[in-house]
Amino acid sequence: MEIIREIINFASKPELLITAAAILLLISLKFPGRFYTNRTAILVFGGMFLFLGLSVLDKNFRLIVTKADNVPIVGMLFLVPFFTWFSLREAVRNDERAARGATLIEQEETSEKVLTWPDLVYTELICMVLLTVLLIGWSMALKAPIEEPANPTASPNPAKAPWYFLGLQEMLVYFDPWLAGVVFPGLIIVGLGAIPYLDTNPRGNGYFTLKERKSAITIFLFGFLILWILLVILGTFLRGPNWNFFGPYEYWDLHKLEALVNVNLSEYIWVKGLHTGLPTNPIVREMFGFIIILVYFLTIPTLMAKKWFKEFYNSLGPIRYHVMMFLLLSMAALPIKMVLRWLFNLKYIVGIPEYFFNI
Amino acid sequence: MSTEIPNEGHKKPPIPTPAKKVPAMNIERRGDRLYQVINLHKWFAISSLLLFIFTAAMVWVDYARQWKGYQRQFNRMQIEKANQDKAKASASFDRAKFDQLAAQLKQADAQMQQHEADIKQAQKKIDDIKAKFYGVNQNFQFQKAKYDAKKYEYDEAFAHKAANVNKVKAELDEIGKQMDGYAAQRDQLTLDQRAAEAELNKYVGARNEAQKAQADLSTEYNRTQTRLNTLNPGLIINSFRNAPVLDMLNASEKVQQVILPNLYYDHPFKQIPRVDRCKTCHQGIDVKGFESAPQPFTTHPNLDLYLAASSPHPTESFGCTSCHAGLDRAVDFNTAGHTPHDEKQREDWAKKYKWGE
Repeated sequence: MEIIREIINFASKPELLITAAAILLLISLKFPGRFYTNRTAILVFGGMFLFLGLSVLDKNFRLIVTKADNVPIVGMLFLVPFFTWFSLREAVRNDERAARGATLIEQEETSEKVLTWPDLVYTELICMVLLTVLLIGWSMALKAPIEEPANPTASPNPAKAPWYFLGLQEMLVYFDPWLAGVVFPGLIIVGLGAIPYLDTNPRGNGYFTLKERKSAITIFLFGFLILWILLVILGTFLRGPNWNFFGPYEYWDLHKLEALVNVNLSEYIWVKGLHTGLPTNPIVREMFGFIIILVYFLTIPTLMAKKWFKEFYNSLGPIRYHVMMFLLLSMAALPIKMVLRWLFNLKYIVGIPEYFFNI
Repeated sequence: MSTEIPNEGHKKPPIPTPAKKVPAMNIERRGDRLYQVINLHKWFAISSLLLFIFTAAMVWVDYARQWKGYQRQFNRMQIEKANQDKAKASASFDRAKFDQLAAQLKQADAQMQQHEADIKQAQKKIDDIKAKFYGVNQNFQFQKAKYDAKKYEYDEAFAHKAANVNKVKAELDEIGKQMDGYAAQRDQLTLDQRAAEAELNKYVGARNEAQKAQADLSTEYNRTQTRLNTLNPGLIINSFRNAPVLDMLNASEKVQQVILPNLYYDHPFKQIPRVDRCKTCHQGIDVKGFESAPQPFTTHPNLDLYLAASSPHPTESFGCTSCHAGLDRAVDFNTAGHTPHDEKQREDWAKKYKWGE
C-alpha cells in the first residue's frame, strides 16, 4: 500500500504529470477511434472513481480534497474529461458516418431548424431552475470557507488565488509576474477574442467532427486541458506551503525545503561555457537570450510560411497568418519554458533583474 | 495543419449531405418540435418542485442555529427554576392568616353596608374637590408659564439696562401675585381633599387594610407567577414571534451582544470595535443560581468581582473576550475560539462538535 502511494506521489510531480498528460492527449487525438469509445470511458471514469474512492481513505488526501473551496475542482476533474470525451466520441461517430456517406447524428434528430420556444428557451429555463437547486443545495451542504479577519502581518501559507486563477499562479513558477500575471492573461483573452477573426472556417458548425477540424481542436484542447485545467488541478491539489510540490498522499509540511538551483541562460553561456565572469553590462550579458527570443518570434513564422504552412499561409493571408503565429508561439512558450526548466534547470532566458525584465 | 481541409475564403462549405433522406426520429410523436412538450412540462414541474423544496430547506438551514437550541434549553431551565420558586412561595403561604384576613374583610364589608349613605357622601365630596382641583391646578400652571416667559423678558431687560425694565418688573410681580394666589387655592384644595379622604377612611379603612395585608401575603407567589408568564407566554405566542422572517420583529430568541467601543481590532486604516456575543449561549453567566448548571449556562465565579454592574469589571465595559480571548462575533461553538483543557475533552469535542484546530 505504502509503495503504491509513493509511486503515485512520485508520478504526480509536475514534470511527469504534465508531460504524460500532454502525450496522452496527443496520442488520443492521433487515434481517436481507439480512445473516444464507450469502453475507454468506462475504463477511465471507473478508474477515476476507484482512485478517488480508495484515496479518500488516506488522511492527507481527504484533508485537501474535502476542503470546501476544493470541492468544485473535484467536480471539474470529472466534468471536463466527461464533456471532452462525449464531444469527441460524437465527433468520431460522425466522422465515421460521413466517411460512409450516412446521415450525421444531428441530422438524424432533425434536419430542420428547431423552434426557439419551446425547444430552446424552455429547456434553458428548466436547466436554470435545476442549476439553482444545485447551487442552493451546495450552499447548504458546504458552508462558505470564511476564515478569521485578515491580518496584514500574517499571510496564509500557501497564499492561493481563487481556484480559477490557480493556473495563472502555477505559471508564476516558470515566468516572471509581468509575463505570467499580465502579458499571458492578456494574450489569452485577446487570443480567444481573436479566434473568430483568425479562423473563419465554418466547418463543424452545428455538428460534431474531429477530422474536419483536427488541428484547431488539437490546439484548443492542448491549451485548455494541459495549459489551463491541468495547471488549475496542479495548483489546487499538489501545491502546498511555500508553493512546494506535494504528492496527493503527502502531508503538507510547512518546513519542507526544496533546493533552488535554477540557472540563467547567461550563466550557462558565460560561466559554464566560456569559463569567464558575467559581463557587467546587462545588455551584453543577456544578448544570447535576446537573440533567441528574436529568432523565435521573427524567423519561425516566415520560415514556416515558406516551407510547411504554405497552404495555410495562402488561405489566411499575411496579416491573419502572422497574428495567429504570434499567438501560437506565445502559447507554445509556456510548455517550452516548462521543459527547459525541467531538463536544464533554466531560470531565465533573458534575466535582467536590474530592470525587472526577466523572460 | 496539412491534414485540415483548407478554408475556402468566406464561401460556406455545405454540411455533408446525407446519401438519402431519412425521416427524423419519433417525428410522429413530437410534431414539429424537437422535444415533446409534455415531457418538458413534466421536467419543469419536477424542477420547480425541487426548487421550492430546496428554497424552504435553505430558509430552515439559515434559521436553525446552534445558539437557538441553547437559548431554548436555558429558557426551560429558567422555567423550571421559576416553578420551583413558585412552589416554594406556595408552600410558605400562611393559609390561616389569609383566612383570618378574609373574615376581617367580610366584617368590614358588613360595616360598610351600614354606612352606605355616608360613604357615598364622602366620596362625592372627594370627587367634587378633585374636579375643582383640576381647574385650579391648570390655572396655576398656565400662570406659571406666563410668569416664566415674563421672567425671561425681565432678565433680558435688566441685563441690557433697557428703559422699560421697571415696567416689566411691575408686570412680572403682578403675574407672580396671581400665580401665588392660584398656588394657595391649590394647597387649600389639597388639604380639603385629605380631610375628605380621612372622613371616607373612617368607613372603608378597615376593609382597605385587610385587602392590602392579603395582597402582601401573596406578593412572592404573584411575582413568580408573573415571571413564569414572561418566560413562557405559551406555545402559540412563542412560535409566532420566533418564526422565520417574523423573528425580525421581537423574537425572544435573539443574539445577545455587548458592543465594546474601547476595545477594537486594529485593521489597516480601520478600527473595528469588538462585539462580544458570548452571552447568546452563555445565558446564565451573570445570573445567580446557575452555579451548578452544565455548560454553557454555568454562572461565572465571583460575580461580585466580575460581570456584575457594581463589580470592578462590569460586562458592559469589559465584555468577555478582553480576558477570555476568542472571536468576539462568533456564535458557533467551533468558531468562537473554545479550547479544550485536556486531551480527553479534545476528543469529546471532536466527537460532539466536530471540533478541530
